[in-house]
Amino acid sequence: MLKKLGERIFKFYCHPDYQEDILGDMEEYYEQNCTEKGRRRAGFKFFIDSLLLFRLSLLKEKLSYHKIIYAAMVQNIIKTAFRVFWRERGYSLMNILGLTVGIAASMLLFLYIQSEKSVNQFHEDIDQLYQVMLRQTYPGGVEVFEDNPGPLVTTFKDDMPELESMAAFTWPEALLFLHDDVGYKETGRFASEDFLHIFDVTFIEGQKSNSLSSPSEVFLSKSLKEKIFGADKALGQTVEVNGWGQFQVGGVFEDVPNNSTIKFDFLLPYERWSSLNPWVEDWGNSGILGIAKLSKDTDYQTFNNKIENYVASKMPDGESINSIFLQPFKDRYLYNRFENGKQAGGRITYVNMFMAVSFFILLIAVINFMNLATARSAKRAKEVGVKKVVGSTRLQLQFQFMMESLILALVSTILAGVLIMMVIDPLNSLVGKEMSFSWLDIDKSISLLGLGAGVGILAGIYPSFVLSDFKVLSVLKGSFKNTKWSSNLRKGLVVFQFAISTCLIISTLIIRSQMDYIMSMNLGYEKEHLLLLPVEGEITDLSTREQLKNSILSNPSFTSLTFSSGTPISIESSTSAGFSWEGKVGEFDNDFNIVRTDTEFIDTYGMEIIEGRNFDINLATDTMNVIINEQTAKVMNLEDPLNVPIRFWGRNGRVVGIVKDFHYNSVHEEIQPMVISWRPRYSTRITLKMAGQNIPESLEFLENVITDLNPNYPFQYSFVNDSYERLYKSESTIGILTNYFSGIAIFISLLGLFGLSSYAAEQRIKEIGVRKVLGANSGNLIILMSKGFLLLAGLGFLVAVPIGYSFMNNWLESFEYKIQIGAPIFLVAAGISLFITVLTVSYHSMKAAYSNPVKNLRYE
Amino acid sequence: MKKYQLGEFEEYVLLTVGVLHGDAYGVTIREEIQKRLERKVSIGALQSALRRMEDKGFLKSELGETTKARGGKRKRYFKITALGKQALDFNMETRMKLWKEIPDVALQFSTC
Repeated sequence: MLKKLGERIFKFYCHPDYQEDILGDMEEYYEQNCTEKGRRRAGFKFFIDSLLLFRLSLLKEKLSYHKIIYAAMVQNIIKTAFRVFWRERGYSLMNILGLTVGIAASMLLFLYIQSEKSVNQFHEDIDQLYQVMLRQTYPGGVEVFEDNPGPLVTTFKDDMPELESMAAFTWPEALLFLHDDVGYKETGRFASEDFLHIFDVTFIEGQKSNSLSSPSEVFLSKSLKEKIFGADKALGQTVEVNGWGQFQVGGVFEDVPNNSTIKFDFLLPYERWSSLNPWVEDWGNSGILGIAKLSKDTDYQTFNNKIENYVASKMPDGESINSIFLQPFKDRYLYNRFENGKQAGGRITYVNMFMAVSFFILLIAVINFMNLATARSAKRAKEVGVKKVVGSTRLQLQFQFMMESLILALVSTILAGVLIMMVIDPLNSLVGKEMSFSWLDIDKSISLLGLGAGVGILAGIYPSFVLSDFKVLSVLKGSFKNTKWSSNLRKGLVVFQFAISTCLIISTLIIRSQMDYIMSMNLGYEKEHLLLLPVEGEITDLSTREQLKNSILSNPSFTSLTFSSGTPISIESSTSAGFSWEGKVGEFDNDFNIVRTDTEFIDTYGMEIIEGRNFDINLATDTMNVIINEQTAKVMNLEDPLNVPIRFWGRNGRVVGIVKDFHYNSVHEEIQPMVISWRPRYSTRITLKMAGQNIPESLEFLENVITDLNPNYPFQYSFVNDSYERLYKSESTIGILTNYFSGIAIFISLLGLFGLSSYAAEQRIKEIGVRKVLGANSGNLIILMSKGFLLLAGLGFLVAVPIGYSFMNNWLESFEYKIQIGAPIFLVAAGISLFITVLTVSYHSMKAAYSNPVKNLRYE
Repeated sequence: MKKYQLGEFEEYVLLTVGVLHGDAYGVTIREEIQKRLERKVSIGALQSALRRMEDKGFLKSELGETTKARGGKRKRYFKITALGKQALDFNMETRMKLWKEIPDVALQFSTC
């Protein structure tokens, strides 16, 4: 690539007689460098050499004939450019600052977008990979899940010749690894045999073939292997996993890259998991994730049509609400949202949004440059006039102004590179990415330089046309004025800048208030001072749990404790087929959720029973009964659902209470029907309510109690409110980014305004002098001067309101529970934008208004 | 004599072309100079020196064969011309003359 470019450049300027042999020589060096340093470095060196070969004695005749004149002209242009920059250093500084910040900001956004787009793309056969998705059709709508029925693992590939391979894997699970009496709690997955042939990881020890086929083998990531075995070879060694006995290490693979959506530190054979979860082997249930590799010439859309009824055909009655389909794995991350079973964007919306933001930020900086250049063109008019008289062509003048803009852009680009390197690390930690930038990274520095050059050309085109267009006679006679047209265009551009900035202010405000709303909304349960512990090791035993409960509650720092199968942060869901009552007709319109827990769940989470009662610990019959939420009551559609006989998952009982609806999962979703059942055996989590004092001491106490029971398990806990915030990680990242980048956009447009206001003040200095002499006071003058700019800002605001409104309304659509966009937000946005406009403009207005009229009118 | 003017680098190049007689083209000349003088030579500097001296008439060149590594492009072999030889001679003589005329005293560094 670079080599071709270099060759072309070289051929452009080199004398044809010399081209062949010199290029031949360079080819030889290239071949040699290829073997010594690799193709990329060799190509780069070839390119640099082709530039450095630019010598007078090697030039084409045509070029060398003109070379003296051109050299002198370019030299002159550069000299003039630097003189102008220096003479107007204030403006140049503003321009450079604006362009630097603009270029740096859009490059950073560009890097962010790139890293979003790179997710999952590291698989070699990415174009053939698909994730198997599940569509559930209810009367009330269609929902899409990643979970699939278990039998798919064995049957799908045999039934479908289009499949090259298909592998199942599970959601991540935290398991205990024991080696030399040291325990490690690690997160990994169970996966079926073909998994490692589809998912690209490099093996360091062991081999991919036959991996995951032996039931007692475990595969470890490099970092986990180093944790457990240190620098020793791990292949063939044994490690105890989760109390299931000794597993042999079958292989060690390179860590799964961070830009993978499927992450794991270890892999265990799928059979181990399915034997523990036999329910998954039913075609009606779903719990495994699937990844498939289609043969090269298969069109996945046609294939999707073919498999639409696949699950139904496996059911005894030939009917199922479930149907599976494939989503291209390369799209899985960016196109992650489904609405009514149809693909409905997802992260790609944000990617596009940031693309637009980065473009607009650049545009704002470019507009600044254009406005300042044309506004101040009167100062250059004489130079243009004289040059034209002496015989300069219009093209040459355009070239000159283009060069000036390019030089500024180049300086800004270099500074932008420095700026990027300074802020990229803090930015990474804010948004949780691993972006990098360095001038030595050829791809990235070339794209940055390209960006800079593009900006330079874009910014230079309009001024170079305007400036080179001056009529010689009028300029030299001194009757030159800026045209009305160009000053109107300037105003238009300022309005445009303000519209963009205000749009960004509005978006920032709305995103922020939505996030505040989510974080502080009444969820129907209390999320403060709640601590989560996993149910593992000895604690899975029911009688040990009683002891544990008693010893924890003996400490006054803990007020209550509950064992449950899910938490409001992540809840179990099922079809409603297992739940029935007298007179039930059909199934639920939507998803149906379940909490299996003990008597303390409602109290620990501070939920409210609005009718009936909680489970009574003294009533053994309550294990048959259930508590439902308001939604379930609504769906059951009975006059009084209390005490209605029901049947739930094999137990006949009654509804004893109705709990007020509480939010679970994320507020993107509506609250669905839910049933709470007293079956603590299936608990996975312990929730502890803390009094809120002496938290460090309480944690220490807890650690002692837990590690007494489970000495091998590392003590791990989390807080409910932290987990809640994690649900909205992607939204808060977006919030942070819009915050910063709208700040940047506003900053750059204010810079431009600052420059323009200083120009305006300069132009009207005599008018102001006269007004002052005639008795105007400073206050009037400031208002007079700022009025025009405020009008422009106001116009910009008016343009921004409908755009910002419709755009953000769209964004809010994805939340089931959201704020109303009301007038206050727009008032605040208007206030902010007008306030900063006044602040920016008033400096020069004030300076002009307070200046001594004698000084300004002396020569009249 | 203006006619024989030769820069330091040009002289090295000219001499190297002589040394490599029959096999003197861009790549070999550069390697030879780099090896003997232990300094980096840029392709641009070497090529422009070669063309300059060809213009002055110290060198002549002809296109030769090609090899696989050159992507089908021919080599340009350089040879010293009679004029080139005279220039070298002239340079050597002037230098030797100057060398010989340094009085012995000037080169005595005994510590007295």
